[in-house]
Parts: sequence; structure tokens; C-alpha cells
Amino acid sequence: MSVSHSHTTETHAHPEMSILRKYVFSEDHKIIGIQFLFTGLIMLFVGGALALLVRLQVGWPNGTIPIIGRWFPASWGEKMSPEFYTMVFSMHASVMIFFVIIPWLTGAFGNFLIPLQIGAPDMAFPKLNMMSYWFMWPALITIIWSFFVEGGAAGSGWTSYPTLASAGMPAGSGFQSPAGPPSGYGQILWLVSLLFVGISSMMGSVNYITTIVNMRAPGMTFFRMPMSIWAMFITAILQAMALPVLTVALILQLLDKTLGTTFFLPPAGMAFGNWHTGPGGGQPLLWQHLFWFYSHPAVYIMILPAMGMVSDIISVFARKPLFGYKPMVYAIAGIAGLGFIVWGHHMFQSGMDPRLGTGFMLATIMIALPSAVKTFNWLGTIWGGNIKYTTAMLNALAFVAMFVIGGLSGIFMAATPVDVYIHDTYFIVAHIHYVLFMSSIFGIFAGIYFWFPKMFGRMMNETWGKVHFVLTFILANCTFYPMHIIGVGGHPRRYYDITIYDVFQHLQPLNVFMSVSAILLGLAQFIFVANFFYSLIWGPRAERNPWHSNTLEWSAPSPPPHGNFEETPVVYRGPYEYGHPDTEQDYAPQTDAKGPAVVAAH
Amino acid sequence: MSPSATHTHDEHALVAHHFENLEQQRGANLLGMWLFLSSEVLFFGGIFTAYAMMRFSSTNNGFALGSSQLNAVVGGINTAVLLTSSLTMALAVWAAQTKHRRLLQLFLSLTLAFGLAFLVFKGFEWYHEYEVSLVPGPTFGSKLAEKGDGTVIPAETVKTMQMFFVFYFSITGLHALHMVVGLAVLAVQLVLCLQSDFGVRDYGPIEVFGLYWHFVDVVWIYVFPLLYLMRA
Repeated sequence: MSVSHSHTTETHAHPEMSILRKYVFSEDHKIIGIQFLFTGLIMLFVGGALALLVRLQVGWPNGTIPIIGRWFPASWGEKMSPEFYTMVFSMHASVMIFFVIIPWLTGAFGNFLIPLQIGAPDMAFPKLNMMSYWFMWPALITIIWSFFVEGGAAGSGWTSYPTLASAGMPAGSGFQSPAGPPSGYGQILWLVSLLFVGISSMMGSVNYITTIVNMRAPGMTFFRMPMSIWAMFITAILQAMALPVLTVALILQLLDKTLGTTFFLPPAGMAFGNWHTGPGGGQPLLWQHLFWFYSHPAVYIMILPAMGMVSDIISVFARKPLFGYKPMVYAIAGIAGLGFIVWGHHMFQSGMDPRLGTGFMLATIMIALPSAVKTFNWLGTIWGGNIKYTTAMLNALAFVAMFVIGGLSGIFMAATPVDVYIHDTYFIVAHIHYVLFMSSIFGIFAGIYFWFPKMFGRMMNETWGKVHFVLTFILANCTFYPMHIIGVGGHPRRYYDITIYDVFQHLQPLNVFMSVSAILLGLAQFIFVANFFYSLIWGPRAERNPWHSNTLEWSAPSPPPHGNFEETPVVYRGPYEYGHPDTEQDYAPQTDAKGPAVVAAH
Repeated sequence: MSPSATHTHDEHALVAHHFENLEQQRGANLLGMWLFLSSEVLFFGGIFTAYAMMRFSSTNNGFALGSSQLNAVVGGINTAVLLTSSLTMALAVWAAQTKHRRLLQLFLSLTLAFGLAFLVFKGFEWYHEYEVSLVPGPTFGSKLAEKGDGTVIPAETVKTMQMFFVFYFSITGLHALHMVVGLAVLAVQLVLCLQSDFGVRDYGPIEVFGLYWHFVDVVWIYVFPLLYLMRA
């Protein structure tokens, strides 16, 4: 598709807008991206605080909780109650997944980068884009509100499995669920909140796909798009196709909880304490199928964009073309495609027919192939490169290294017989954190350090950036690596207090070590926040292209104005032409018509 | 998309500032709607899957019995009404494309009328089901015996039947919700068409809405046999 570019910015002159329209109810994709960035940052600290509460309880099961312990009911004696603990770990995961990682990767970076990197003045549907941000607010309000309602926030795990989560509430008991305090009112608010997140994501994904298909600058063919865009594109397809299934599952569970239907409650009825439901006709396993049909692709939604951004950053700072550009694209598509048919590997322990389990196991292990293609191509890109160890590059390299560990532990649990042993142990916790914290968050940090100059027109402080990186890298490994060890030792996840079991006593010192590391890790993040806000105000002004990068966003001013480019850019080459031997300048921007001869994408 | 270097002054007023030309804008709007609809397919797919799973794992004929409680004639008439509204919607798009303003107004009004008629029929159906105690709840099935030929339906089967009606009300309810949203948008478009040259000036919005309307129709084409006709 070629699009005309006769317009000058004159015809697109924008009238002066009020502060409210410009920064709050903005339709500008860059502002919306930055709004998502700040919202994610705030929620990162909410989710992080919840994580530290989990670690406090696991590390010192009978200890009093400092500061917030004073607000606990007197009967708890400044200690965490078991119900409170289940609420804390459930909400830690829910907040981190739905309010930090997904909004950051797709909301913040997707919004900010897509139009800039494809050379478009804005998203295809700016109003829809604005709404996709503002639909996050009802979600945020309900989820925060849920902490303060009777019984507390949702506490059935972020997976909200029935029967615990979807047990209805008997007439006359208000919002008290017989299944336990955190599956009453809080669970209902959790469901409502996620419905809003779903609407927001749906609007975002429709917008991203349409923009990438329809709004590319002249010359920007599909195979000249940077990996970030490819990753966002495929992620958006995953979102658009998987999320509606979660939406319908949430609606069904909401009906179970409020109107007394029995979609997910067992046909024989059930009993909690002295309370019995009448027999229903539903299937608790149905929820698991519907939930994981979304939530497994969601795992890839939470890492593919980071993979794309890391590919871009590694190529820039290795001053070398990305090794195997097309295989990288196909690998992302392969991961996403396989991602749709592997949800059953979360359910090996559910009594699934072993023949079905074998199919899910094989499909899951096949994901190792495209993942390996990506890893080796990143290594190939770095190999022999003229590497610049900027903070962004360090974080990107950490992404690759940590993804290897997270990916390898994934193969353990893909194998049904191994999974049967490690299911619901800390090994799973280790794996998810190596993939989601150590990979996605390092990818996000790399992205923030890399695009900060473009977002805000100022440079971040490199020294403090590196201090933050080193501390985070070491402490995160200290926090999460031992989880593999205690997991293989049989340490179950989600237990309120394992010290009451003799068999786990010897693992407790490691638990204390991890908890101390986690607290320090949390504190280290304040360095990042301080650096972020200091640089935002006092950082040195950034030039147009501080990293000597090829992609289109660097040909726009820093920060780009409303409408992005002075004139519509024309693309002459692929995004990764670095370190050409025949030219003095070691990079050739995509808009560079002269430069070294155009190399065909390989 | 063909590269048209310039567009007329007229066209310029219709193109949002971030699009190059009308063609690009139309393409984007259509693609956006198609993407939304494909995600809707999965939305309904989720609940249809749940329905299929429950139906085929049930050990008695409660689902079939539930289905035979529904009035397939009213459902059939409603199907015809909805299909006709799709026809008038397609004609409205044609009228917009060929710039027949009067016809556009007529066909949009007809679509609105047929859509409302569908909801009215549906409302009567729901009310009837309420009257004969087919709404899931503590009193479900209390009036079943009056209607039948005297044979008593076993309690287990009644429970499965109740599950069928839970699905019936959820699916038809979600479908009706889509109808209501569609009718609201349709009403706005009709008012704009009556007041201005909206629609004939640029047929894009009518065309995009048409896609949505046909989709709601297509969903019903699956809902009708699934709920009303599978009686064995």
C-alpha cells in the first residue's frame, strides 16, 4: 500500500488546545502513551508493596507487620491473617499483570511507538485511543476500592478458580461468600475491574492493528518495520482474538456470583462449612479452559512487545544489523500462533485425559523452537558488534540472559511428568518471575531508558541508571533464583505458613534470604523513580537522535509535536543498517535516500 | 489503495487530520470494524463453547426438553424480521453510496423498525417464559406439569433444563444487548440523515455500521438453531 504524501504540515495545523484537552483528555497517541506509563509506574509500586507483604509473611510467618500492621483488626495482633495473605498474593498478581505489565507494554510503548515508528501522524482512531486509556480508570478505581470493602479484595488467586471464587452468596447474607471473606464483594469488584481492562485492551488492539496496516508512511513496507512494531502488531492480534473469551468467562462468573447461576459450580452442589448450595449443573473445569484460553496468550502479550523493543535496542547498541530479521518476525508469529493451542498445560493436574495432555505438552515444547531462534539471533546480533554499554543496552542484555533461564525452566513444566511434580510449587513462581519480572520488566526498563529522550526531550542520568541496573539485576536474581531450589524441594506456593511442616523447615533460611533480597530490590527501584523524575525536569536536553538510531521516531523532534513529523517521512531502507563498512557514518536512517546502497532484507 | 496525490476541497472537510485521504480513512474504519467483529466472534464463541460442553456432557435430555419449551414459530418469525432488517440495511448502504438521500432515510427507518420489532417479539417471548416458570431460580419449572401431557419430568432433568434456560437467557440477552447498542447507533445515524446530508456526503459511517448490523444478524443465525431447533 502506498499512501500519498503531498500534505505539508500547514494543512494540518492544529488549533491551540486547552491544558485539559492537551494533557488530560488528549487524543494524541504520545500523551496517551505517557499517561499509561505513569499509571503503570504508580501501580508498579502498589503491586510491589503487595509483593513485599507476601515476602514478609513467607519469610517471617509469625512476625508482626510493620506500619500497616497497626491498621489490622485488633484480633490479628498486628499479624497477617490467612485470608489477608491470600488476598495479598492474589492482588499482587492481578495488579502486576493487568495494571502494570500489559498497560506498560501495549498501552505505553504500543501507543507511543507505533505511529512514530511507522511514520504516521497519529493512531487511526484517536478518540478510541483516548477511551482506551480512560476505560482503565473505572478498572483502577474498582480494584483499589475492593481493598476497602467488607471481606477485602479478591483472594482466590489471580486465576480465580471455581468453586472457591465463583461460589454464589446465599440470600440474606449480603456480600458474604460462604467460601471465605475474600471471595465475596472483593471478587465481584475484581470481575468488574477486569471487564473494564478487557474493554480498554480491546479498543487498544483494534487501534494498533488498523494503524499498522493502514497508516504506514510511503516506503514503509511490512518488512521494513522495526521489530518493536512487528511485536506490537502480533501482540495486538493476540489481544483481539484471546481477550473476548476471558470477557465472556468473566461475565459468566459474575452471573454465578450475583444471579445464582451455576455455570462453574459442580452439578452435585457443594458445601462450605455449614452452608450447602443446591445442586447446579455446571463445570468448574470450564472456567479453567476459558480462563487459560485467554491467559496463556496473555503470557505472550506480556513478553512479545518487550522482545521486539529489545531487538531494536540490541541492534542499535551493537552497531550491527539485527541478525536474521525475517526469522525473528516469523519466530514471534510462531510463538503467538502456538500460544493459542497450549493453554491446557496449565491444567495437567486437573484430571485431564493423558492423551489430550500429550498434545498440549508437544505443542508447548515446540514453543522452545521459535524462542531459541530469537535467543540465538540476539546473540548473533551482539557477536562481533561494536557494543556500547549504555543503561538501555545493559537492561536489554539482561533481558536476553534472564529469558534464557525463564525459558529453560518453562521446558521443565511443559513436560507433563515433571509438571506433575513441580505443579503449585515455588518452581512455578520462579519461572513466572524470570519471565515476567526479569524479562519483561528489564525489557520495559530498557525501553524507558532508550525512548525517554524521545518521550520527554531530556536524557536520563546514565550513572544512576547503571547503579539501578546493577542493583536490580543482582537483587532480582537473589530474590528469584532460590525459588527454583525450594520449588524442587517441594515448597508449595500460596501457603500461609510452611514452617508448621517439618519437611520444609530446612528451606526457611533460603526464604529469609529471598525476603531480604526482595525488600532491597524494592528499595532499589526508588533510584529509578528518582532518576526518572530528576531527569524529567533537570536532565540535559536531548537532541533529535542521541543514540544514532535508524528508525523513524528519531527523525522527528524530541519530543515530537502533535502530528509527529514536520513532513511525512519517506522510507528508503530497512531499520537495521548499522556499521556499513563502506561509509563513514556507521548508520543509515530509514529516511536516508542517499547513504550506502540499499541492502535487501535478509 | 491507489495513490491519489490530491483530493478535492469537498473531500478535505470529510477527512480527519491524521489521514491522508478519504480512501485511507474508509479503509481504516472498515478494518477497525472487521477487527472488532472478529473479536466479537470469539466473545460469542466462548459462550457457545460453554453451551456445547454442557449440552454434550449432560446425562439426560434436559437440554432437548428445554429447547422444545421454546416457541420456534415466534423465533422463526423473528429470524425473518431480523434477516429483512439486514436486507434494508444493505439497501441503505447502497443508497448512501449512490447518493439517494430519500431512499437512505427510508431504508434506515425500515431497519430501525424491523430491529425494534425483533426486540418487541423477543420481549413477549421472555415474558411468556416468565409466566410459565421457565426463568431459572427457586420457582423454576413449577408450572411445567400444567402444560405437559401429564408425564412427570424427573428432578435431575429439570435441573439440566434450568441450565439450558440459563444459557438461553444469557445468550439471547447478550444478543439483545448488541441489538440495543446497534439500534442506538442506528437512531443517531437516522437523525443525522434527516437533518443533514450525512451518509450521502460520505457513505463511510453507514457502511461501517452496516457491517456491525449484519454481524448481529449472523450471530442470531447461529443462536436460533442452537437454542430453538435442536430438540432431539
